[in-house]
Amino acid sequence: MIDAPRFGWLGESRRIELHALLVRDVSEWSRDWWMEHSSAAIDVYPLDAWVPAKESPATWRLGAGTLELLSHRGEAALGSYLSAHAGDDSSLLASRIGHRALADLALRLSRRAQAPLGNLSEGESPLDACHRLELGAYMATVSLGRFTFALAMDRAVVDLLVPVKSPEKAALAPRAQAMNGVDVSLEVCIPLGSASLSQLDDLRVGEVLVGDALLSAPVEIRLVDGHSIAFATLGERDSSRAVTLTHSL
Amino acid sequence: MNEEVATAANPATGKSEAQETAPLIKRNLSLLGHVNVKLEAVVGHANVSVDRLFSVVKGDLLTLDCAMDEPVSIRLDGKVIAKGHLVAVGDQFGVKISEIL
Repeated sequence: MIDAPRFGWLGESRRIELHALLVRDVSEWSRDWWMEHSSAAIDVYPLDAWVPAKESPATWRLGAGTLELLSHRGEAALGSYLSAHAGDDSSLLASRIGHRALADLALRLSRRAQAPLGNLSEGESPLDACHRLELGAYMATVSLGRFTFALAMDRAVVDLLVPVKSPEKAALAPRAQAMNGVDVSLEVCIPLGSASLSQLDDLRVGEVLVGDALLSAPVEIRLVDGHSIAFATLGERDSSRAVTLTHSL
Repeated sequence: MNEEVATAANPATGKSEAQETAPLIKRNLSLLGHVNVKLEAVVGHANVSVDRLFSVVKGDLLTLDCAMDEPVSIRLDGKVIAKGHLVAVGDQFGVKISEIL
């Protein structure tokens, strides 16, 4: 079986639900990480397209899916901002804080999804299913006051965070039962045997074309445009032609 | 002034274009008069459900969609080429042609 990604955008109701979930979780995360935390300053803006950056995103496997978090200005800038440090953005400490903060957000999302979080295995590149809305991805810009970072997840992660509500089971009819009602067209034929082209060319109205088939021979019952399936004798019923089945092939 | 109209000739074959595109064998059915083709007479049709088809037994009667006096179709290579009435010629079926092109 081909393991092809499902095509289709996320439904509006699930995007709304996911947005609310992210705002809530980012806010809780911010309370623990952002020195100047303010719930009012936190928002999540859905994106229509992924904005590539020099920095490569921090990427995790979340269940069977992929989660990306990207601080466009770098993890050190994020660490500096979270710790309300006005100094050098490039310090190792700031970088570690930024890195751990993003990892913690990923962990919180994995707990919410009730799925394990792991790193990409070595040499494994993240799939671009995270960035394709038509494959069910969700992308957003997360803003903490004036600082923003981006988030992307593929359909598998979305499905874990906001599971598809199983629709009421459709009343399915058994295939065999449905097929039983299908009409099949049959035709009844008498094989006349062979005739030469010159015989046919000379054939006129009123002439009799004599076939090879004996009056007592069975006629063929065929599927229209198909094979013979049975034999029968020709007869009559209520002024219509009818056949009485004798044997099958 | 006399205009001379010449047909372009293929230098390789020396034949004119018209000669080259003309059918190689002239249509003459008498050449193929002895060639035999298979004919069949279609005496009627019936629609049955899959369920009914798989439940018929020997002796079951299937009514066709045509009246007894309707002509049958004579089919050659899947195409109806004539219509006629079923007749008995000795012990054999025959078809008395009523329509043909």
